[in-house]
Amino acid sequence: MSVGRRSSSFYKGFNSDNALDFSKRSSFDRDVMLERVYPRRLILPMLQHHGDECIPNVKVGESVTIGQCVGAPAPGAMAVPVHAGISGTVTEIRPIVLPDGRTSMSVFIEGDRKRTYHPTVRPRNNVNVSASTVMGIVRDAGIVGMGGEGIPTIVKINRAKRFKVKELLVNCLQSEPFADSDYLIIDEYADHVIMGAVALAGSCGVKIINILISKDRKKEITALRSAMERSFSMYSGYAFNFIYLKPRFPQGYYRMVARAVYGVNLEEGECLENRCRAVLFNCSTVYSCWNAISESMPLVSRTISISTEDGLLRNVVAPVGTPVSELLDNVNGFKSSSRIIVWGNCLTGLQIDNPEMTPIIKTTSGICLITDVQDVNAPCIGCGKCSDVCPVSVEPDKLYMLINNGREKDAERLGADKCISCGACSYICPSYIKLSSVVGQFAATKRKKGSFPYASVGDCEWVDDLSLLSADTVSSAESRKPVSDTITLPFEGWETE
Amino acid sequence: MTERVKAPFIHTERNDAYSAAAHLVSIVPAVAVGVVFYGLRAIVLILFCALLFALSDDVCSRIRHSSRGSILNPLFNGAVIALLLPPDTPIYVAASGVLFASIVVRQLSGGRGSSFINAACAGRLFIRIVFPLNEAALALPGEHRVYLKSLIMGSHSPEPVDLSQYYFSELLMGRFPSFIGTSCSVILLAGMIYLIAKRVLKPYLPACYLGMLTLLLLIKDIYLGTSQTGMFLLTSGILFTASYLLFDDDTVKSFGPVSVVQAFLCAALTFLASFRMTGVDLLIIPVLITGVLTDVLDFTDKVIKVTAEDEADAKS
Repeated sequence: MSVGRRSSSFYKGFNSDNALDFSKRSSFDRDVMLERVYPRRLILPMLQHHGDECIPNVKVGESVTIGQCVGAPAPGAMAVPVHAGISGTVTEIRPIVLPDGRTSMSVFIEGDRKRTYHPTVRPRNNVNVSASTVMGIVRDAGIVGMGGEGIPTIVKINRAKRFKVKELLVNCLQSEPFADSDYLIIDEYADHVIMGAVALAGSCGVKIINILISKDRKKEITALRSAMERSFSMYSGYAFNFIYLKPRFPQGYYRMVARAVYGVNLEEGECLENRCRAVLFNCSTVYSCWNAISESMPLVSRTISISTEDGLLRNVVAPVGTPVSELLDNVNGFKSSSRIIVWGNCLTGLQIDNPEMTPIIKTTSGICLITDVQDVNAPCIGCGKCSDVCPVSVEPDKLYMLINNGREKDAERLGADKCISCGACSYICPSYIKLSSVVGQFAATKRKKGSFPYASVGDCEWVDDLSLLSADTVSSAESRKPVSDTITLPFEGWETE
Repeated sequence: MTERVKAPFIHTERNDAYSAAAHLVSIVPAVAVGVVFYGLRAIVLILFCALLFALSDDVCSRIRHSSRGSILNPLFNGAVIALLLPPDTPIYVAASGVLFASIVVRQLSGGRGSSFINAACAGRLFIRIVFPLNEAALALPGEHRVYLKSLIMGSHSPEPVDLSQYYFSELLMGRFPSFIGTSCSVILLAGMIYLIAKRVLKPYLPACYLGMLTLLLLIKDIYLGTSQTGMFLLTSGILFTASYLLFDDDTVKSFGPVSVVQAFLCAALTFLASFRMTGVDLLIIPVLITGVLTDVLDFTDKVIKVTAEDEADAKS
C-alpha cells in the first residue's frame, strides 16, 4: 500500500473565511444509526440518468421483486437499466414530469410488504472478477454517477479506457450545505468504498487510486485508512493516495477537481479523461459498484440527507423511486407542512409542489425542508462578492444585468455560458439576488450541444457539458429519443462471465 | 398560486443590512468622541446629515420606483460626511454636501451600487469646493460644548493649527483641532478592528494601504532626514480613510487581488498628495481617484475582452 499526501484546492468558491457561515449551519443533530425507509409504493422513472430513457419491461398487474429489472435500455442508447427497490405489483405505467422538467415514463409499484428478493440477488462467492465482468455488472446494475451528474458509470469507464487514463479519483468532497450522505457512506462502508475503487480501477486499467477528501474530515480519513489496511491483501498492485483539499464549495465539481489536483483549467470540450488522464467517480457510486459486485445488488436504493435549514439532519437509506412524501412521513422529526420542499440540496435543488408524485431518483442525494424564504428588497450594491466566489471566474452581477437588459450577446462574450449553476454567487450576494438562476439558465441555453466527449456503452457519443443545477439538462434530455424499442434484458449472463 | 422559489434556498447571513449595521456600530465610538470634544453642535450635525441622507435616498428611490436596500447604509454615509466636517460647520453647508452626495452622485448614476465613486467623499469634496472658507471652521476640543450658534452662523478658526505644540498623548487621543470624527486614532483603530471582527472588512486591505503608505513615508523621511511619519499617521486621519472610505462598495468592487492593487494605488496617491495637500483633500481625493481609475480599468478590460472575442469570431 502506498499512501501519498498532497494538499491543494482551487482558489475561489466558498470557505469559512469569505462569509461561508456553513459551519454554524452544520451543527446537525445527526442520528448515530442509519435509518432505513420501506415505502408502500414506488414511482420509478425510466429516465434517472444523463442520457436516453429506458423502456419499461414489465406490465400492469405483474409482480416484481427487489432487484428485478423494470426498465431496460434500447440497444445503442446511452442508458442503464432501472430496477425495483421493493417487491409488489405494478399498478400503473405512465409518464410523469420530474421536478427538473423532464418527462419520463414511470412504473408505479404497490408494495406487498414481503421484501422478496429477485433470485439473482445473492452474495457472490468469488469476487475476484475480471475487468470485463466488472463492466458488465456495473452496466447491468444500472449504476450512474450518484454525486448528481447522473452519467452512467459504464459510460465513464468506457471513456476512461478510450483515453487511456492513468489515475482514478474517488470524489469524497461533498461540500454543499446540509449534505452529508457521502460521508455517512464512508463512515459506515469504508471497506466497500475501497474495494469498489479497486474494482473500478481494474476495469479502467489504472493502478493509481487517488482519494480526494477535505482536510477536516478526520473521521472519514481514519475510516478509509483502516479499510485500506484491512483489505490490503486484496488489492496489491494498486497504489492509494490521499489528496487533501480545503473544504469549500463546489470543490467536487470535475472542473474544480482538475484545477485543484492538476492545476488545469478545462476548456470547452475538455474533460478530466482527455486532459488530465484521470477519471472521477463519486464515493457513493464506488460503494454501489462494490455492492453490485459482492452482493449482486443492483442500484435500487441510496443514502439521502434529509435536512432543515435550522440544523436538523437525518441520513436515511431509501429505495430509489420512493415518493418524497413517504420519505418524509417515515423519517422521525420532520414535518413537511408549511415548509418548502427542495428536491436536491439547498444550493442546487429544485422546489417541488407535489411530493406525493415526486420520487427520489438515483441522483437525489438530499431533500431539504426550508421554512423561511429569505429575501431582502435590495438592489445590487456592486460589492463584487459574487465575482470573488465564482468558481468559473465570471462576473455574475454584470452578466445578470446584461441578460436582464436583453444584451445576451455581450453576456456571452463575457463568459456567461461558463456558468455551472452552483449557486455560490446567489448565496453570497448581500442583496439575495437570484444571480445563478438567471445566469445559469442562460448558460444552459447557450452552451454548445454535443460538445463533450463521452464514450458510450457501445461507441463514442457526444453529449452536452453539464451544470450542477439539474434543471439545466432539460434541453439535452428532450432531444434524445431511443433508437429502437428492442429490449436487451439486463442482469443476465452473470454466471457466464 | 404560490410563487416558485428558485435555488439557492439559503443565503448568507452577512447581507446588506448586516454590513451596514456593522459599519454604523463601528462609527459610534467616533461619534461619541466627537460629541465629547465638540458638544451639542457635533451631535446635531451628525444626526442631521445621517437623517437627511436617509430621507433623500428614500424619496429618490420612491420617485424612481426602485428598491433602496437597507436604510442603515444611507444613515452611515450621512454620518461619515458629518464626521469629515469641521465642528463649526453651518447646517446649510452640511445639507448641501449631503444632498449632492445623495441626489447627484448616487441617485443620478442609478442608485445604490451604480455610482462609480464614493458618495460620501464626493459630497465632502463638494463642500470643500463650494464653501472653501468652511475648512477653517475648526475648534479646540472640549470648549463651548453647548455652543449651537455655529450651526447657523458658522465660525472660523483665527489661525492655522500648529500640531507641534501638542503632546503625543493628545495627538493619540485626538485632542487637537480637527474634523469631528477623524482625529482620535485609538477610536478609529477600534472601529477598524470591529469591522474586521465582524468580517465586513478584510484585514489585508487596510494593512496593505497603511503598510504601503507608512513605507513610502519612511523612505521619504530617510531621504529628507525628517521624522514626520508618526505625526502624519496620527493626525492626518488616514485611519478614517482606511476604515470607512476606501473599502466601500463603490470604490472597491471586489475583495480579490484587484482590491490589494487598489489599496496600494490609493496609498501611493495619498503619499503623492501629501506633498501638496493637507486636511480633507488628503483623505478624499486619493480615494475618489482610486474609484474612478478602478472603473476605467474595469471598463477597458471588458472592452479588450469583448474586442478579442469579436476578432476571434470574425476569424472563425
